[in-house]
Amino acid sequence: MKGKKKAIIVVEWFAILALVITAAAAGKHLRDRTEEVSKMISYEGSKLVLYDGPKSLKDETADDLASASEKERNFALLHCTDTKVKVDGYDCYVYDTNVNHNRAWYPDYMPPQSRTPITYFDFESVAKIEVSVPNMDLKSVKVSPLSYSIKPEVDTAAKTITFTITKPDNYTVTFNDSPERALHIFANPIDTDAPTKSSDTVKYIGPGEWNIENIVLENNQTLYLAGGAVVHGIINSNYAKNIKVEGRGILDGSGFEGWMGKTAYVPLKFDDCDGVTLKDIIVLNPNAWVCSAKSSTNGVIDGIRIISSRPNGDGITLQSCTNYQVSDCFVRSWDDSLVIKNYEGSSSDISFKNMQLWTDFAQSMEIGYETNKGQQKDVSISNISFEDITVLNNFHKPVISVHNADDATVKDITFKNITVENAQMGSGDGDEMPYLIDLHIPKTSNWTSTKERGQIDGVTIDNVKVLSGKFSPSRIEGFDEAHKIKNITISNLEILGEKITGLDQGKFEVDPDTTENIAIK
Amino acid sequence: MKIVRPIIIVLLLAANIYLIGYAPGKIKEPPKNIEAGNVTVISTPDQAESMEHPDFKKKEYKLVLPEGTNIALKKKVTASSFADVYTPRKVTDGVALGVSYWEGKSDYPNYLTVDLESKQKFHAIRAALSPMAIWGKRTQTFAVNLSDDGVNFTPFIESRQYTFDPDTGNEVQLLFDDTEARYVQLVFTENSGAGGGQVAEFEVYQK
Repeated sequence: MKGKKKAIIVVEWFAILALVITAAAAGKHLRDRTEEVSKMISYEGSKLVLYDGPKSLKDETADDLASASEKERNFALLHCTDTKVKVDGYDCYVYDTNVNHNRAWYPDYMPPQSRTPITYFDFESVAKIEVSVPNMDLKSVKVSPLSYSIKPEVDTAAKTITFTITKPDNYTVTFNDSPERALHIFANPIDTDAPTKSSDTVKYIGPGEWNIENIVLENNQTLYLAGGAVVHGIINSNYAKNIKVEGRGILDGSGFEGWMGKTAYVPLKFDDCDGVTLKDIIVLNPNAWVCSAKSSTNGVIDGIRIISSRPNGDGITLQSCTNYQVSDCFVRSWDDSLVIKNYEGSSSDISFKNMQLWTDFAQSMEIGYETNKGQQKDVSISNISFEDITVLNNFHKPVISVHNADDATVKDITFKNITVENAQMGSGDGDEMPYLIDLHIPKTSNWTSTKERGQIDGVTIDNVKVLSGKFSPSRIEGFDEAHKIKNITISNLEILGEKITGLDQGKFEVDPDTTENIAIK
Repeated sequence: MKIVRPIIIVLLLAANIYLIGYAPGKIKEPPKNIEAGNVTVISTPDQAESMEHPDFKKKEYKLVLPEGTNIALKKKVTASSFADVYTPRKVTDGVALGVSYWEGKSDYPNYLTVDLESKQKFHAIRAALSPMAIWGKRTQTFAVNLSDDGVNFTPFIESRQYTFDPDTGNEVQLLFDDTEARYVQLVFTENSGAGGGQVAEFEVYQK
């Protein structure tokens, strides 16, 4: 009996041990599985709004993709055929718009131009994007902004790439490290307040392709350009109050001949206005510069997307404006992307925040050159900030520039949290100013209007990172002893992984006779 | 104490049954696709080509000029000021398009005076801006003065606000009985579309 009891006890202990081991293993498996499932992308509650393109837009052909001036080929906005996009498995309409890969000025205003695809949709929660480029050999793919750390799945045989996004934003897919045929994806939040028809105060333009040469908004009017709409025309006001332009649609200028120094059809132009809000719309193919205001105040520019390709195609240019907030925009331009100038009075209290820039030509963030074109007394440019800016590409002239070519005082300027993903300053004829940062008081035949020179006093440049490309020099040069650049602070500058703590190390060309109190740390 | 081990065994068995047989089934993978009901596709109308938008259609406008000949054409013009490159001589060059216009500085009143070279009879004045749609509608307030010596002007038409609308020619015509003078002067005191007075063509008509 004793032996039998002992055997039972041994069996019981063995069973307990075995059960503990299996329970532990099962528990670990359960925990691992729970963790695995928790990391899975959930489409629970996700929403998607897709917009068909106008049926009248022509399909792009191989001829349309030729690099040629606007005189030599069809310049119209087209339906893209060589780049297909699916979102969550659904076809998403892709447009083909003009871009300019030249890095030199064309005095005849006729640079050869190329094309690139763009698409847009609205979503909530999560969206899986599949891009198909059947004509392309995929060697590398990059999804910008790089801060999202998106690692796309690339199928080189099927010539597709797939990735998932969880935040409405503007995304750019670059193939094979080339700017050619980069895909711009404008992923919007769902527009819950979109009107569906006109009212007393809202002019509604629905889906379709429309010719409206000039839309002039009056006090207290809103123009809503719906997703799926393409308007060939311009929108503007003078001396108006409390006006708004918004929506998901496209404002296209491809029907206007290049301005050639004569008639600029500026897509969004609001001079001497008070309380202009511009929101979300996409602006393509302008015949000159794109979004401008002169002597206006209390403006909001939020979330608009701009691609310009023709000469003088400055992106957002504010001239003698006060109290403007510009945020969450995408600007790809063939001239300065963001500009502050004085054409009449002073400029002050303007902020650019959380912007994405792709500057094919000239400067990304420019103050000047004209700081007193109106030749008025005691003008200034003050309290201007550029913060949380991602420069996807900067190909030509400086990324950060303050150029005071007149007699204004330029003061209290801030550049903070600037990331340059690809620094290619000095390409083409940009080699005369191949700088990362350029602070300069010049007298130029092109831009100067006043006899007297001005000052630059107080520029803070903090946390600028250049991720790839060139280690470009920078310049700080005033005019003379009486017209200096002073009180400049540069901190947390990092170029190609190297922390810059000295002016020589950062390749700064500083003129000791015309500068004062320049600090780098 | 005999009962302790069997109880432990039963409890462990129960735990194993839960962990192996029940709990894994309770872990649901999230949906891997979007629900079809949560996808909206906004369609576009059937169009073969780009169309004029019905809400923005403009009525056809036929410009009818005043009777007679524009005797101000190519005549000398002076202004009390001009902005940028918008010099006064552009208002009698016969071109109303592009940058061929005069604009005064915001130093009202702006005076714009045409010299007809000798005392002339006339019955109409036309002040026009570019008729292109890029010129938004605006109001301008101006008066008309006349003079025979270019120094002493007398009021002819009192100051009034006029609407310039590209949909209707972007012009103002002032018609009156025949009058006589050598100098015709417009005196601007307001422009809702710019900082100073603007005129692309300043015309004086003689039958």
